[in-house]
Amino acid sequence: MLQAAVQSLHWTYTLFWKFSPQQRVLKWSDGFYNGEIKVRRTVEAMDSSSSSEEEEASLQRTNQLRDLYYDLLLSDGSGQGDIVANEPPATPRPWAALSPEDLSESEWYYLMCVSFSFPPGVGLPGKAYAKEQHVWLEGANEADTKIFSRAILAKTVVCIPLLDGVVELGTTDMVQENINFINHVKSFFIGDHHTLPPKHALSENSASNPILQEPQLLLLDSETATTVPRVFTQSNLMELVMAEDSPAAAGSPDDGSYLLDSGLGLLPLEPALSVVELLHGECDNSEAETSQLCMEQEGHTHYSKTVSTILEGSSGHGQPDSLPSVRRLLVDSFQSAFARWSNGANNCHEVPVVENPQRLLKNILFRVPYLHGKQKRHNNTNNSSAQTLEQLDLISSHVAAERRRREKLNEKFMTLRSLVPYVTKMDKASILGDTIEYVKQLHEKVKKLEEEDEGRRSGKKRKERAVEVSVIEGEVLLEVECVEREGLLLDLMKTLEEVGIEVTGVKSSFKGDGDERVVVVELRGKVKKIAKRKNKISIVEVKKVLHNTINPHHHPLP
Amino acid sequence: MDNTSQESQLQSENSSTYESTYPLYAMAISSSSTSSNLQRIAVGSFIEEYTNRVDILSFNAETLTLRPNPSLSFDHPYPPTKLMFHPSTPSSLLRHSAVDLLATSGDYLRLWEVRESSVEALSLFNNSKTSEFCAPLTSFDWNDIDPKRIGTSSIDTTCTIWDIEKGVVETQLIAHDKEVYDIAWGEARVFSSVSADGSVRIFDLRDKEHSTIIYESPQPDTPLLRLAWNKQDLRYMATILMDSNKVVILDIRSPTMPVAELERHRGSVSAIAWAPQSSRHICSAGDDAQALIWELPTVAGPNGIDPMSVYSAGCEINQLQWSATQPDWIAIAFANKMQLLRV
Repeated sequence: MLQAAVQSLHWTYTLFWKFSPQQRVLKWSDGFYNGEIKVRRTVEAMDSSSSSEEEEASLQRTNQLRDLYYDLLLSDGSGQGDIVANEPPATPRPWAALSPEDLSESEWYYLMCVSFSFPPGVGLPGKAYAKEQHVWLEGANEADTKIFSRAILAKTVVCIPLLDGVVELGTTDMVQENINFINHVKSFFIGDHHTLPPKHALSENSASNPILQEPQLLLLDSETATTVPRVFTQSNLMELVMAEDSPAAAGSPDDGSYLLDSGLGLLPLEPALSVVELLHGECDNSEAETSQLCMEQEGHTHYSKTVSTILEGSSGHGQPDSLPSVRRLLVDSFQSAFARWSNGANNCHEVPVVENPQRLLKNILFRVPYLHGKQKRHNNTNNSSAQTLEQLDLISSHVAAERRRREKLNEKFMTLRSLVPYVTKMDKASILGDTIEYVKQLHEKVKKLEEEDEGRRSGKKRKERAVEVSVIEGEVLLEVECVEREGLLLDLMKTLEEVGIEVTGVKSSFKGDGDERVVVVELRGKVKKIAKRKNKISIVEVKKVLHNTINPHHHPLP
Repeated sequence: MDNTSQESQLQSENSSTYESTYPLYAMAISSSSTSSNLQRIAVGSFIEEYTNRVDILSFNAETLTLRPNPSLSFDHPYPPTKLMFHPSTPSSLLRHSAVDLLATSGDYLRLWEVRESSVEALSLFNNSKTSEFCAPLTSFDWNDIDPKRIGTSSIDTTCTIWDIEKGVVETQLIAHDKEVYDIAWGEARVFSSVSADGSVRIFDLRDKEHSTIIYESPQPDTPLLRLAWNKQDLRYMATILMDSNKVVILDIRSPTMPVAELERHRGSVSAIAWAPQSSRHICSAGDDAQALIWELPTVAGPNGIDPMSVYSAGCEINQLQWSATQPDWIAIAFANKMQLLRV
């Protein structure tokens, strides 16, 4: 029945939720999977033409899926078996029949559904049942999880209360609500007995993103995407987009959401990164946001628990190590080329002694860029206007030299300023001007001083040259040389007489010419006692007296 | 010998090696995969002569084969200082994945179109007024949020931001007092750079007058050689100093004080790369021939932070790349070899 229904509609799957009176919940009762089957690691869409072969294949698939589920459950031994099944498995099939990695995403989804149960009013099937009306959910993959907690794959989900339960149909396409569809489905089941009000029940339209080519798995939290979701890509089977707080600094891309192209089925990855581990991992995180996230949504938890059970069960089968989750990202399975770090073991590993550390890196950064200049030089030998690296080197050295010269000049200017008094302004022109003035002044001064000095000396020279006096046993010898003066000789003789020297002989001659006529006089005499004086005269006195005679206006020599 | 035991640990299923005829330095992993699961990896030679080459290899993650494509090899003047493929965000530049855009830096920034069986030179970006002289580039970074922007760093102390679609300079800033050695984008309009003057500075294109120094090397004027910005958590950056075995982790909200200094390398560190899928992991490699993967804890222990795992190559590792398109693989380059290691 279900099979016929879903196949005729070309939808992906159908489930029948049976109401169980004892527990008062809707439980999975039957289902049919009509979606993509992953065969040998590529995904083949089911051809919807109903050749018997394909029908069979689908049916077989469905059974396989169900069996797998039970296998996994049973192996786990936790006895999740609240499931009411129409056909309990006789014997567990060997797991090799269908292993989890062979499933496509839609199949996984289908498998998951088996575990769910809904009390009336809760969840889509619950609501449908309670209201006794069909519920049509479009854009189920983005729907609020409270409404549709299994919003994974199916973009459109319809729940129709029928018989003693709810029929659910889902498809990976977006399908508008259509009452005919509903009726069509019903017709398969009930004939014309039941009449349900043919009015539209809830049709929940959530804003839908532009069509994505591949069915993608999205699990949004109830606070929709203001934050940038993060994608972990370990598995092609399930990709979880967890909304996380993006760091304030991060700029989000313009369209605001990361939807990673899953690149379905091309890589032979095992169902590693599970929704669960991530969720649990995030829940363990100290980050408040994500743990809150976990708590909030029961549908989440249920789903995640199921997945974890299954996957744990699957690994219990002895399949090769499931690929580590991000958290256990780099744990070395035997496949990793990296070995675990341990302090002791590493120390005995010999390290090559490197004389030139970071040799290649330094070459790339320090040497290679300059090689380019060299090449250009070779190419441009004829081109005089070329600025090669060599010329640049020259220029830069010139620049340095120029700078040094300027600095020297400035220094000297400062020194100059400090030597020159009365410098008012600090600029070089004023400094120089003031200095020039100052130097001129100094010249004048020097000139004047020199003139005076010379005048003085030459004045002295005019008046007197030499006076020599010697007295030996009363005999006096006088030699005088001085500028000619009228009556000089007479004065000298008179003076001598006054001091008691009797002049006995005179020799005189002239020298020089013009203004410089100098008379040389040699006087001999005898020293005599005179009445004026008590003692005989001394040489010093004689000199003194003579000086006074010769230079009547000048200060006597000391 | 530990060496040999490490070698024997390298089974064929967790690594893949390519040996070239010349030493390799620059390396880039493509962000788009071609048909049938092949990933392109570009490697640049390091030959101290004029003629150098860039080879494009194809990596098949399923069969773990790493093969060169002789038809996709081209010449480059002097060693390319950095190679980078167009980042993964689809844009008008990338029509379909068979064609890849590769940017190289050396004397100029060049763009190349890597097709199925040939590589065509697309453009050369030259900002100097005189046609002869240029300031050679030490590094560049392709903005993955706004992929028409490429920022380059040069020995003439400037960083130049190019609009590669229009082929013009968006802006040129004097970033540092000395040669700039690396540049990294944070957001669409924010980048940071490191220099021989020993500082890490952040620039915002909306406010070109000001930059923020968020770290200076403790010994003044110790050059900082490389810089990496954590794309998963934009608060964190990592840098390495010249002749130092330390990886310095910085938090841009608390400038001048590093958040952590990772000091377990026994030789100078030459390359660093943040994990593309995790905000807490970083990988570093250096002269001790080891590549270490670190997990940054929320609280550091008293003895410093120990790495999580280690790989020992045969000799000094010069280059490290961890691509977002292949988060399970780390690419390293040492001597003439390029190796992809499974994480």
